[in-house]
Amino acid sequence: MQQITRKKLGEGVGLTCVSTPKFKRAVLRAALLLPLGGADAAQRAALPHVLRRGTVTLPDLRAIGQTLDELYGARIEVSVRKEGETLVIGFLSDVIDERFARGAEGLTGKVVRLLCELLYNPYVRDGAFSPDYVAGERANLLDRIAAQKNDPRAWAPKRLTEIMCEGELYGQSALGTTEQAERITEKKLYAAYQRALDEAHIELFYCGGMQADAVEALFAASLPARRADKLAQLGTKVIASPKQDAPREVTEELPLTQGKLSLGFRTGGNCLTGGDPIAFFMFASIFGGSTNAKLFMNVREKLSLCYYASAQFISLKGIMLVNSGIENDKFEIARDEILRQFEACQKGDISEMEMESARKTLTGAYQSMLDEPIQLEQYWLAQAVADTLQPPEERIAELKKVTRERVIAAAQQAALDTVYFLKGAAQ
Amino acid sequence: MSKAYSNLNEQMQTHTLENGLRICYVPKEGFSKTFAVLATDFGSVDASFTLDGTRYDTPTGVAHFLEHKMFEDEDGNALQKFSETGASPNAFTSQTMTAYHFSCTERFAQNLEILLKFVFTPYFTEENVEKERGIIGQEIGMMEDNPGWQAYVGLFEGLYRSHPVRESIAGSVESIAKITPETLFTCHKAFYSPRNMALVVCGTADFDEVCRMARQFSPHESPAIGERHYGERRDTVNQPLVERKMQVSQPQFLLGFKDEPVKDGESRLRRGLLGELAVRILCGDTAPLYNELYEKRLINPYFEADYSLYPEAAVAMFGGESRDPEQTRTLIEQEAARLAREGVDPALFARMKKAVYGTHLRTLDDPDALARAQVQAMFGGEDYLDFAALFDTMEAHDMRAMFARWARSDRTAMSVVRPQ
Repeated sequence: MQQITRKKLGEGVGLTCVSTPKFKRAVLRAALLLPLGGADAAQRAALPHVLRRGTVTLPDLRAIGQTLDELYGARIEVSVRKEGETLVIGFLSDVIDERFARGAEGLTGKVVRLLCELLYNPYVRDGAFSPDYVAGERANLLDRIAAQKNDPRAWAPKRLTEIMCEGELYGQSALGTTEQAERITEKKLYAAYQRALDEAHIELFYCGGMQADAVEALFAASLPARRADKLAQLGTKVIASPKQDAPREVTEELPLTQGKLSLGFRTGGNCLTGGDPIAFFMFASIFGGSTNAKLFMNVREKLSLCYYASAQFISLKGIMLVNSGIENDKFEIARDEILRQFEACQKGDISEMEMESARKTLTGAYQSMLDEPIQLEQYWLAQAVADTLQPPEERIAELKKVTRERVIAAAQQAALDTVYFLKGAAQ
Repeated sequence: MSKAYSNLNEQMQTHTLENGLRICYVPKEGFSKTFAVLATDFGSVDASFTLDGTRYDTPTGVAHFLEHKMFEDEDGNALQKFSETGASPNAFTSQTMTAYHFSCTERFAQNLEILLKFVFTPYFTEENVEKERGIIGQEIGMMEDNPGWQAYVGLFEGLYRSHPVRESIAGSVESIAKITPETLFTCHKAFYSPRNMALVVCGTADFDEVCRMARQFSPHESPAIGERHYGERRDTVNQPLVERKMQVSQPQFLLGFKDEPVKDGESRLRRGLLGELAVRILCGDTAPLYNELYEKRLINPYFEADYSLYPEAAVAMFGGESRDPEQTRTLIEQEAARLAREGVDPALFARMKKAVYGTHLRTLDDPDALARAQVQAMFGGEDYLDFAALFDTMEAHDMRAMFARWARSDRTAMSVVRPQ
């Protein structure tokens, strides 16, 4: 039903095409892949926002907005993400399929041209970006860095990751630091842009009704040729076990009503590119991946300690996070209960019913993903970053074969690394 | 009944059971999953009602509490029953409805049976209600720490004096303390009558089989539903500015224009589309004013615009982060006044209409969103897929009339969450 095609469009340029007639829109991505962190980090986070402000032919937001409206409200959103220890910056777009509107021929081609123009032909004066655009986006980036604390549900796992992965690239933010951001100027940013174009791997994605050859032709017509000698080395270092002897415990305070508890685990080397990832996905699902999971059943339903408690396997990096929101004075009880459930998995307290439920939940999730272009984009981006290129159908086939023994073995390889408690301070 | 929408390449089948339950099926060819939602036209705003001659003023948050408790039956929790089939279940309560849904890639009939059974079977005990209070208390705590939600609640306090849309959907720790099993039974009786509900399936299913199962697993009786009370209505706002202080890095604001409620006989679907188009023209992310505010650094990429309809209420909302919410407010209000005075430039109107049409067309790829939109439409006696035909009836003068309503005095309120 879905035709997956992977193409190399030149040095360091990859295109993933998912061709299917079932959607009424196309989803596209054009992104630069670079190593996470480093001296250019904040500049790289600001870069796609500055590029989105104007191009050679569409010099400001007005012109870009008008063009997008005319393309039936096509969207082009800036994307700044980290995938493992790779920074992904660029644009995500969606546009309706031209079959469903009068006079809409060539819509996809126009969006591809616009994406490439945003990436390669920005609005530039005297060898630099527009000072106004850079000043605005520098301020927006500084605001964004400061605003991360506004959302405690995201802030707690972010702080946990920083503490647990200190000294690893993964511990760094995709946004860079305030100090870096403050030093951004139009000239420095333009130079960083030139370096990024030389060093980045480019990942293109298309999901929609067109065939891969036609999509390739559209991108090929708009992409400049590039050299291979400056391409950056990408990769993620997986740390199999905690670096310290005993788990760390860190408590920080913010003026909040509810406390946030986050626990970080190393996975014993189980990750997308090593170990037994599918068994680890099963273990994470049984432990805290659904409304049938041990964390939901015990921490929430049995003890009423929280509204949410779930486990997330970050497969590119080979870590697992457990996140929960709890009353401030329930820290010890909640932590101990989460760890009791973790140990139960390690001891093999996993029933056939839990196995089958997790298998079905994960299978259903991969099958459902085939209906969701945005999820497919994320899935194939992670695959491209890991250079694994395994289709979801293969994962489903692997799920069928996972045994209880493999799942218990995966659980036994996991180890608690860091406990982070964001305490709501009295107001 | 079957309706085809050749311009959208979609079709739908609808049927109303003898007990009044409305059923709709939208096939999605080629999709792996099937989504089903069973919803009742009962939201957080419906806490005060009269049933069988008795007036009930139930505690704030009761619809949401009921949603949590419905999953539990004598023989266990429906969430776990779904998980055993690999389905992904969930539920939500909005101001206007409570909806229970699942998506699955296999064993659809088994899941549909679980859904129908638990939603129509109330099972509340002192003990299980008490247990849920702890969980919902934590959910409320989570919402209280969310500045966006606080700005949202503040806006409705500013816009309305007595309309229950002022209250937070989940209520407060204090209000839910008053909820008893009896309260829940009363609300279930008042609003979970089949005639007040709709079932929408989107994906791959046998429509006749869906109707047969719905008939088998829904009550034969369809008792009268509660008569709702929304308080005395006023055209003007309650309070022009509502402020809170929280852990935020810069002010977050939400500006609301209080619009007239949908009139008797007016198409709710069409009003929603007009509202969406109007907020986009006034300050959507491709509008001239948006560009100006962005360039002046009064707003950033996290700015949003929305138009919402409630029973006896309608609001256009604009908000996000701003260094200067007051100046942002002034400029948005001035632009609304200008559009009311001068009307909308025809070229701008045409391109914005095209863009909003594109937004709805994309919704058709999302079975969850499509089914939810259809439920809402069915509660208003309409079908969501008629949106394409309604676009042909939308004119620039409709916009001008809407802006004229927004631009009258005392129709705006702003809620601001400021740093501590």
